[in-house]
Amino acid sequence: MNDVKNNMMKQAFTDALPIILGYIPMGAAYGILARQSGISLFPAIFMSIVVFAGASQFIAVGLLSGGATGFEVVLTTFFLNLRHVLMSASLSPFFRKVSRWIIPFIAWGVTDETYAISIGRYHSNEADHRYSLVLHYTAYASWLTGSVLGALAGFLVPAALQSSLEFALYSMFVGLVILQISDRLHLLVGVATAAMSILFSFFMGGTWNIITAAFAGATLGLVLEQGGGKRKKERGG
Amino acid sequence: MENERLIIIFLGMAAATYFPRLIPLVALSKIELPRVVMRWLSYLPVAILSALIFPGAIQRAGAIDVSPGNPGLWALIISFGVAVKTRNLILTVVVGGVAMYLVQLL
Repeated sequence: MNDVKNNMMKQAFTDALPIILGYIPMGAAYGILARQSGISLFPAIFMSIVVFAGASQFIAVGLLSGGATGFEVVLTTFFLNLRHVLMSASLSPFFRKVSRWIIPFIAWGVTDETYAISIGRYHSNEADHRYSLVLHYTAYASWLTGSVLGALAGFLVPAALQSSLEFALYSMFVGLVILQISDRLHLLVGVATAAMSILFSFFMGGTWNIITAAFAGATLGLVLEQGGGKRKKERGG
Repeated sequence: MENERLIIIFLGMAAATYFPRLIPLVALSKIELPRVVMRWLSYLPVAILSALIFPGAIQRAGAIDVSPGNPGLWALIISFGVAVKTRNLILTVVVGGVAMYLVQLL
């Protein structure tokens, strides 16, 4: 039994590798940008410690250097991160037997990337709360490492390498979405959601297109499934 | 920029990022969800991942760019090709990243 647990935790670390490679340069880019925008060393690092949300941190730095109020920054951050409500809801059924005091620690590390990696493992019964803890805190450590390096030393990887490492996170999403597509209905949900997300991005700000499209896409899948199930029953299937 | 003000703003951001992650996990993990909600949740990962990829991966400087001059477009097509063909996550990540690097050098 202990071996199973250890293997799961090793697996979590292996699964975290693409996240580590993506988060360190992205964190460094954040650290540099923050310092260049006139935020001193301590607050620049402090933001990564207490926030842990890449896109929001970049946007906050931009807003602050543009003279935005604190309220505007916090509100923008909130709307950008509402998408994690869906991810957190989707993970919730897998924590029935986990003690209450561990859940807040797991919740802290729910990001687009850690969610994308772990949800597949949960669906195939290859993860538990220990897996999530290792994955989430490895990702957090990478984000902090990158932020500190960037804020301290102006450590910067060449632009082409930087954008490749960041793009690799999209490749990760691609690999994961393909693994998730198990039948035609899931394929249809994927294609329809992508189309909606693109369409909505033209008139919705922040990440509202992601939230709205994902909500609508999952609902479409459910409606088609229930409709299909009923038709089968009517035909006596 | 003034440190005290920044620290307060960042603590506000901390709350704004943490609660959307925390509340559904705490509220939903200890109750038995109806079957229909579970079925809905089962479609959510595919939907979320698709919405994260599109249009993000094909955007440049915040705007969708489907011209051949956008390296991300090529890297994305290659990533999908590798993923569909091999269903191998690590290979997809590595080939996608390398493709992005090489296309930019062209």
